[in-house]
Amino acid sequence: MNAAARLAEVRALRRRRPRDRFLRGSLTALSAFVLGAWWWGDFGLVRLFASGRFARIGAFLRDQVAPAPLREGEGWGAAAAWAAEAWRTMGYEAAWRTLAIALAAMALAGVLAACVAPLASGALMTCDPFVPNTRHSTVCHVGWVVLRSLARLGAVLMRAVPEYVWAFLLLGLLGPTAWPAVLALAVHNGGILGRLGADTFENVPSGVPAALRSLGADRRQLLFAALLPTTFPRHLLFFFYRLETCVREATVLGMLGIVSLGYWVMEARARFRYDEMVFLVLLGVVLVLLADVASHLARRFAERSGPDHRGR
Amino acid sequence: MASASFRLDHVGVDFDGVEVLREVDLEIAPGEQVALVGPSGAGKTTLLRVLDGVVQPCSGRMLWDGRDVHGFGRRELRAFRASVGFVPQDHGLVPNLRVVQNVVSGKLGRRGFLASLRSLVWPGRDDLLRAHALLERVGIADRLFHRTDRLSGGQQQRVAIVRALFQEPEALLADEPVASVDPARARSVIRLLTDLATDRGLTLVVSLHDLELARAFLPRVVGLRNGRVLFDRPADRVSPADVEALYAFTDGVAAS
Amino acid sequence: MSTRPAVPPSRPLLGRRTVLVAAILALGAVSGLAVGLRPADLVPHGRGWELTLEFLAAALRPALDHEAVSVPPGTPAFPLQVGAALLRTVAYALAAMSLAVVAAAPLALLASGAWWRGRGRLGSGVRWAVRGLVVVLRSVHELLWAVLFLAAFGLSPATGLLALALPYAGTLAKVWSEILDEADPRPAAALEALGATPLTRFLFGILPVALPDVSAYAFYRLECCVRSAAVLGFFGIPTIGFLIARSFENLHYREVWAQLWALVAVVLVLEGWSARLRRRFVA
Repeated sequence: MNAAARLAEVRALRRRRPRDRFLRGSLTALSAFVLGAWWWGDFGLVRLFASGRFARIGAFLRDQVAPAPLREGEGWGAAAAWAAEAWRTMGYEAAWRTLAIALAAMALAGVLAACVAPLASGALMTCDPFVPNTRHSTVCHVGWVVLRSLARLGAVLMRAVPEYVWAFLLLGLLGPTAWPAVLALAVHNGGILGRLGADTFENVPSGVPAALRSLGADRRQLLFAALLPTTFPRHLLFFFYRLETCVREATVLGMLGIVSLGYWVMEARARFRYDEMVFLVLLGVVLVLLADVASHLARRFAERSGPDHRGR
Repeated sequence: MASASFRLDHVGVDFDGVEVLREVDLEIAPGEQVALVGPSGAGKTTLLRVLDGVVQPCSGRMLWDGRDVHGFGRRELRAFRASVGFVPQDHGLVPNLRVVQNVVSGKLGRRGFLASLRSLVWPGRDDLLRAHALLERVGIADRLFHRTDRLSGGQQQRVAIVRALFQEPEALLADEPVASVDPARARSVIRLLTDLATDRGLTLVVSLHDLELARAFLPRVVGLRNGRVLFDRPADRVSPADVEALYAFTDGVAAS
Repeated sequence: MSTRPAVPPSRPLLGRRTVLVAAILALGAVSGLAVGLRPADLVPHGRGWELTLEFLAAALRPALDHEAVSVPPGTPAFPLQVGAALLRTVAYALAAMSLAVVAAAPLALLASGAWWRGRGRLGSGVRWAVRGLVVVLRSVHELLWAVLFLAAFGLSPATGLLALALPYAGTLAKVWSEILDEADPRPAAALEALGATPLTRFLFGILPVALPDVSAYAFYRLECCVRSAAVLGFFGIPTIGFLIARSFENLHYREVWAQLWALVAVVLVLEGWSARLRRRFVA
């Protein structure tokens, strides 16, 4: 083949190359949306940086954020005493209450997810689970689809509404206890875990459950004898992933007036004690880090607890 | 095209205290075609990686065209690696790039950063023509612009071979190229490799675990066992005793 | 030496999993008691009952028009108002995510081991410093960033945007660097064997391999960012949360549900889109 003929061939191949229209369309649409958002949103980002306000950040840090004893030139020893005092009066309670709210919420979220996941999974919620090509009446078929869709819709509603919004609404209805924060976190995370759990059940290879089904196992037996044991480590993995996020989220729910870290943050702000406010925000960082490490360790433990771990 | 010679003097390699190769003496002349045979774990892959300059011998010397690889600086090492084409057992292709991009990446060792970037994002006419010609040689020219992971396993292997040829190498090394193909396909893959090497006068080293296949297609067979060279002879002079020794190892009854 | 009879392997009475689940539930219960959760408080009292029932009933009858008898002149029609607020919510999320992506890309490179491989000692120092920065960016919740900015500059659209972009950049950088480090190392090894430099090895052997997961994760975070942008409304940024807070405080529950359902719809559309994209990438 001479060079000219080959070039023509290459060009023809390039014209005929397989193209992913959906991918390209998505990319174009997304770029257009981003440009549109910047053009239409008028966020004034440039104005913020150009204005003197941004330049004053140094002064703000020095005059407001630096701990009071340092500002008054009392040295680091006094600053340490200040920090110890802040920890004793606010930090300690803010920290343990935030963690307790997150832990209580996650336990509840786990229970909620355990109820939602089997109901929302297409693997179980069919006329004859794990038996292919069976003929059933339309009524049976549609019935199961409706049941499953209701569970899915519930899970969607639970997780699509942000925790903060749930907490705000529940606070208005239930009054000022810790319940609104715990329930808000539990509902949102329960929705997420429920959906992930349902997906996990659907991805179970059909071998074992199909064999059990052919022995006459009912749905409950399928769930407890086949689906749950094989997928357990995955559920734990998801659970501990969310636990960390839940601690992070629990820090801010207090801003609504419920007692978690956010409450003391807002309280320090109301007193214009920005040094204490920043101290509390940093305390929040430490809490999230602790949760991160704990969740990492727990995930390693969960990975090792599975039957699918052996032999690897 | 020039072809490369290799010489190994008492080469030993160990990974974390485990001896993988010991006292390997081997001389491969320019343009020679050699089969490395032996069971899994015999050290074939490591030996190939030593020949490719990716693994440095822990003891002994490795000479490439008479030059000791040990003294190479970064630039020389890069040039050495660039002039030896390696076809890994797992192909080592980027699955979500197009075939042409994987092929053109064969030149990464010979191009500067900007030229590499340009050739991968927008391959030039010469690159396209060369890639097409090489793919045509192995029978998959029409796949030039396909996504690599959409190709069958055998086609992907040929893309990996073409990437190695695109390097314009002096030697071609193939690690277990027939590990996961049926016997009929295996013969055609080995024949393709020997034909390509003969056409271009390349030194060829192929590792195989099937002694029969090696004897049928390659003029020289090196038997590797437990990190040592067990035998090294022309294919027609491999004796039943050699075969025996190799299989004795495979059965787990180490004869050492 | 005496020989002992072999002990048959026995299963512990309580398996690892049972213990773990029991521990989680127990810890949850103890924590709940500690923060004073009492079942009795779950039952709304007094007027709370009426309101709760009214609120739940409103879920099925979302408002299509303003519930207030009279609205200030010049107020847009209710659906238009909700639509504009939703658009603004999505616009905040898109703008914040585009900032976050731009900031996270270099951070992710510098925080990943794959980038620094074969570049000597200096790398690991820089890597750990960047990881520390990323962790701090991410561990401060976007609302806490908002409060900090509120104190420093006063909350404006620009600071709201930054409050979203900073923690999202941190999270993106952390997860992206993990994706880069977990990418299949075999293509990169092949490129190294043919003489690629550490830079080209990374750019052509690791980055493309990781790209599908990297984009899928960014898309997932966009969905989260829409929710976070909605919540910023509670702090005065004119997103959908602003309307939700106002309607709820005025006891206009049917308006609240219209706004909630609209937000859910947007999140669902994004989720469907990203699920389809992910299937394309992975297949």
